[in-house]
Amino acid sequence: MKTATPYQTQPRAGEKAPRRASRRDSYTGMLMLAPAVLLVAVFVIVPLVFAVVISLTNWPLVGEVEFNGIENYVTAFADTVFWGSILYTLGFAVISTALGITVGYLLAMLVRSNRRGAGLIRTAVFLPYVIGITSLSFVAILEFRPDSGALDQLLLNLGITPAPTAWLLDGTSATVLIVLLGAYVGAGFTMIILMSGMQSIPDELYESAQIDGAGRWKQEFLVTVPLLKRYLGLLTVMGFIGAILAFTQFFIITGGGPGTDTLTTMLYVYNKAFGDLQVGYATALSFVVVVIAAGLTLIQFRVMRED
Amino acid sequence: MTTSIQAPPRVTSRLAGTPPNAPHAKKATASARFRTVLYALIGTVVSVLFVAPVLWSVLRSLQPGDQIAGPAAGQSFTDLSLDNYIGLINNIGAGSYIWNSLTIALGSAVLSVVVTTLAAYALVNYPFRGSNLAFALILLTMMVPFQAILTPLFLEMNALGLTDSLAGIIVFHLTFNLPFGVFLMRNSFAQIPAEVVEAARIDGAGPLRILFSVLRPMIVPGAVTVFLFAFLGAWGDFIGALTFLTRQELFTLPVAVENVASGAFGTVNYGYVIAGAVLLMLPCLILYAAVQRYYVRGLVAGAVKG
Repeated sequence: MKTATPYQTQPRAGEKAPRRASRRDSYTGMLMLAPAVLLVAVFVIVPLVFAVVISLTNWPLVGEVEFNGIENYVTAFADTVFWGSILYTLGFAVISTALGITVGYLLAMLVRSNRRGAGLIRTAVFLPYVIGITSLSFVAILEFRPDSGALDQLLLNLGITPAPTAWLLDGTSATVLIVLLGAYVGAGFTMIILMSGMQSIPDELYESAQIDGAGRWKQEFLVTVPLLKRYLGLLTVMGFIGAILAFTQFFIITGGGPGTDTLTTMLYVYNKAFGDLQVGYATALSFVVVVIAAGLTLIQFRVMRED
Repeated sequence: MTTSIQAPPRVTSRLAGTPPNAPHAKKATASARFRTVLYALIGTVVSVLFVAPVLWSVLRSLQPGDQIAGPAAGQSFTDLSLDNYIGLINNIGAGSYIWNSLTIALGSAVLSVVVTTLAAYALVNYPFRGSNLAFALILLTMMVPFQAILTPLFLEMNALGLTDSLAGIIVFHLTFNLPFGVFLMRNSFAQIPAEVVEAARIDGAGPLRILFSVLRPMIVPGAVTVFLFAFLGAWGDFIGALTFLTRQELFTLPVAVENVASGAFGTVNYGYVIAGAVLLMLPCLILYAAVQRYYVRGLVAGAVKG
């Protein structure tokens, strides 16, 4: 699960001010922080620095390592499959984030009330999020099969499709199904976040809007949406980061196919490194992903700090 | 599943229709009744839409294999059995894959709680020059998704002898759980009044004694949340297990199911695939039922609390 937090050094209101530390207390603190810092240093900082070195070599997983300067980057620049995967992934990010936030918002409107049953609806919507994309991707390959899959059975019985359809053998329809699967899994998360935002809006604002004669939908657009800007911004960035890194559902359901029609960037990088064993080249490609993801995370921190 | 997600307590409740003192609070009851019915109707449709695929999967996994593989016309739910599960365990050896998955998820969850608790305790109660820098470093990990440094990480772990090892993948999960966990636990410790710790120190209690006997009850909710998300993250992880575990006896359940689905074990047995998918759901559903309120807390705290 990816979450994010703004970085703060100053204790906020309500937090205790740091005590004057004795030398012994400092050692105690260092000792307790050591495992966490060590892990980050060894498994995050080192690979990050190491990545620069690797990307400047031809580093095959097996065999001789040769330094080849920026050759990988030159190759990457001309790699049409790579840029195709970037475009595809960005398109996927836009569509799935837009759909996810729309669905999540409507659901949040439904379950934010204290009516009887709202809690049950929340539980039901949250269920797929709890189960997660890995398990549901396996269900998907089963049920998206032509003829014997549930999707085809349903559409054939309803008379919507005349004949069995191989949904996953067409790039567009496979993408649509994966987007829908993502919305199904992610809806609960988006709903909970937006609901907690909606419930923090004071009633008085709605009362005065009502006195001014604003109807229900007008109140929604003039009061709720503007006040949820921060939440919506946050969810947009998180949705984008998730989509840019999308791997599991594509690996399991389509494997990037047919051809390279559903090839996400992560999938391409993975195939280059562990399929073609071109670790150097794959690492150079990863840098593009790092830059995009880090940029998005920076935006996210920005959004979160705007209070 | 009889529990339901409870909304956090609110000061007032606008959301049950009109505000309590709204000008038009005394609307006709007929329209109020219509609204209640409409709400129940929409709510039922939405709930069914989200729950149906899960229930369907469970039913489907109990069908005989030839029906799952067969054409649409031959579907029925009269001949249910646990055959797919038995086959998955006997013919594919899923028992050991489940065991691997559980070992990794539990190991990662327990260690995440220990490491993040100690780190957060230090940050709040034993700060030193540079401890904020350490916190910044841990939070920076969030800017580097592990997927983006997968190749150098693989080479490094390979050099350290941490690939093809359950310990190695536990350490991997542990590291990338740190930002969320440390942040959450830090908030837990920060909410405890300084006087509590001060009083215990004057009584001569050492740091660990204070942690275990004085602070424990106050940080349990945070620790449960860290445990929950660490466990689920490792249990559902696919790319990490796929990359760092290449020996078949170390496979986790998702990787094993993927191998069944892609025909690595011979012809694809879809009955086994759906049984594997349902087995993957089980721990998630059990945890969900058991500690539901921690989900909401963790998600909202992790995502929004700036």
